[in-house]
Amino acid sequence: MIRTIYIEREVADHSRTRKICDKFADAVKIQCERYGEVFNPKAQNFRLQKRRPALVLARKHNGMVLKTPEGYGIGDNHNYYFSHMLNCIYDCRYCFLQGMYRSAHYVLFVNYEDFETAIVSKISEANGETISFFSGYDCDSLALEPITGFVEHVLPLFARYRNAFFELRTKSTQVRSLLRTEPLPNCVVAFSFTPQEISAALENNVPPVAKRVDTMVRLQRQGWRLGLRFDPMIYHQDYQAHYRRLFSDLFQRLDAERLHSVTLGAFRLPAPYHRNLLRLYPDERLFATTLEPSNGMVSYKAPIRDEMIAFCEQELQRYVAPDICFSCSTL
Amino acid sequence: MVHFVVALQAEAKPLMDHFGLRRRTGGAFPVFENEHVALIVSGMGKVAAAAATGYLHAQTGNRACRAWLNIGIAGHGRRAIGDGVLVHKITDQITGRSWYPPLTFELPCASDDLISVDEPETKYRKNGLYDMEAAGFYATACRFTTAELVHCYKVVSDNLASSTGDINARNVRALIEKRLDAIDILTQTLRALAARLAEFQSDPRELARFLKHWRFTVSEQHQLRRLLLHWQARSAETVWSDELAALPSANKALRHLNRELDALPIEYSCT
Ligand code: SF4
Repeated sequence: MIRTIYIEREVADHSRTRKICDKFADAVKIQCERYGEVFNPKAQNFRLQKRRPALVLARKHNGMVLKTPEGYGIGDNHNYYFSHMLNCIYDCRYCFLQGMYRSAHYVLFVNYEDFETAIVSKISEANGETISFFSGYDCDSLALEPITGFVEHVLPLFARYRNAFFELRTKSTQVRSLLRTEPLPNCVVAFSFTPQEISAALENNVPPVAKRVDTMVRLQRQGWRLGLRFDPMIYHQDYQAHYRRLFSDLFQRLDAERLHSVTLGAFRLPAPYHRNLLRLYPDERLFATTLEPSNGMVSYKAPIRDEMIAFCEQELQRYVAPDICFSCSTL
Repeated sequence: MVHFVVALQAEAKPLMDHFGLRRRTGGAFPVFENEHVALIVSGMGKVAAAAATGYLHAQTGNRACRAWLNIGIAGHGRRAIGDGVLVHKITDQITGRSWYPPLTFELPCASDDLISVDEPETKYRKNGLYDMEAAGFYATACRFTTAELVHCYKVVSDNLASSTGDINARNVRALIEKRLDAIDILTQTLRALAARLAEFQSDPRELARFLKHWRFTVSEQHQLRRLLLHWQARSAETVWSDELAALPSANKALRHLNRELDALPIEYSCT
């Protein structure tokens, strides 16, 4: 799967670098000074690179833990995110990463210990107040877990700090490291869904909805707290029927009473990323519709957005308590 | 189209014969071409390679969806004479700057680092290829197109056992000739990539028909292009109709297009 690995000189001898390189013995290994030399040059085409992305092993020097953008958390005062990876092995057409980065290569920061230090320092600063950490902002939290082992590495930290809430966000079924671990009450594994019709059209390489539901059931049985993320919600002719069926399929299998949270959000993108995506995918149906700019973001027209959210909120009320349902809006 | 930049006439000759290239008359650099390939002989050194790359870009019509391939001989301390190598890292020895051509396709050969030097290298201090053009070529070609379409392919002409002094026009020709298969594969691969990029960036199907029928201002043309792309992404049918054709102005045609698009359902279904 990985045929090229770029390695920052500084991490060339890191034990994780060596372990990962051993897993891809046949990959071409190329040394670089800083990952930005490979990842940031202007003359790159995300769409062409996505055909065969490389892995870049690097060290993150600063900005390990950052404040979440507005509207990302679900109520706590202290919301932070961290990204041990940039980019994703999946290829969702609505994903903002395609508009944000010039390169489709996967960057993995191997200095996990520095992430831990930064997380602990934020926890101390919170003086015992609840503090939330979100993983999976610049990548899928679990999709490359068998290679990175990052989640397995940080779970013990959250086991020690119970006032720190930790959310993994994923579309993956790679949960072996979670199934090997005692469930943590302060950790939520949040799965993102669109109806299978949308997933098939827009979420390339993502496991089918049914497989992801199976995975959720296994985790829930073991005692893991789960979240559901219907974000982005994609507007289309039959959205009501499709979302209704998706909810019904999910809640037939999951114990709704043990869910941590459910969030909803209409498809939206920061305006500059939307412009980049239009250039990359002029042939994409998702963007071939009237999207409206508002507060630096681009989304469906307000009546469509409101109608979709209202419909889904109402449908969800059949299954889950309203106090665990949240609508994300940054518009 | 694929653009070849080579330093020496002896490197060019086997390529000209293989691809059936004909010389363009006049100009600051010798340029040879056919329908799919254009080749320029730059002369030796980074500056010459950069200048020739810019010149060829201007001569062949300033188009972005073109692939670029620098082909030539190079030294390497350990590799065998005649090895064909795709370059995955180029370092300018003088500035220390490096570039990393993205490898988005199945490689037809081994790949390696390359150091571009100003004087022939005979000690091969670093483990990699040594040439005199790639850095100038690559930095310039990346101004004209995306990096996935810009590559360097080198054939090892000298190593610790066989010095640069042994190189002559005859053996340079022979070295390139022996690697024409790999060059062919690379050329086809890059052409296909360039075609794919051109496809993403092409005008919508019915644009020309609209532009012929009405006079659009520049901003209306942008709007028209966007609306037609939207239509094309959402429908396989033509948007053209008698009703549309009868409209008296570009502005009215745009409004009609907008209405048609609003009425078109956005559908996704599992097939
Ligand atoms: S799974 Fe998430 S991060 Fe990965 S491509 Fe899809 S939206 Fe982007």
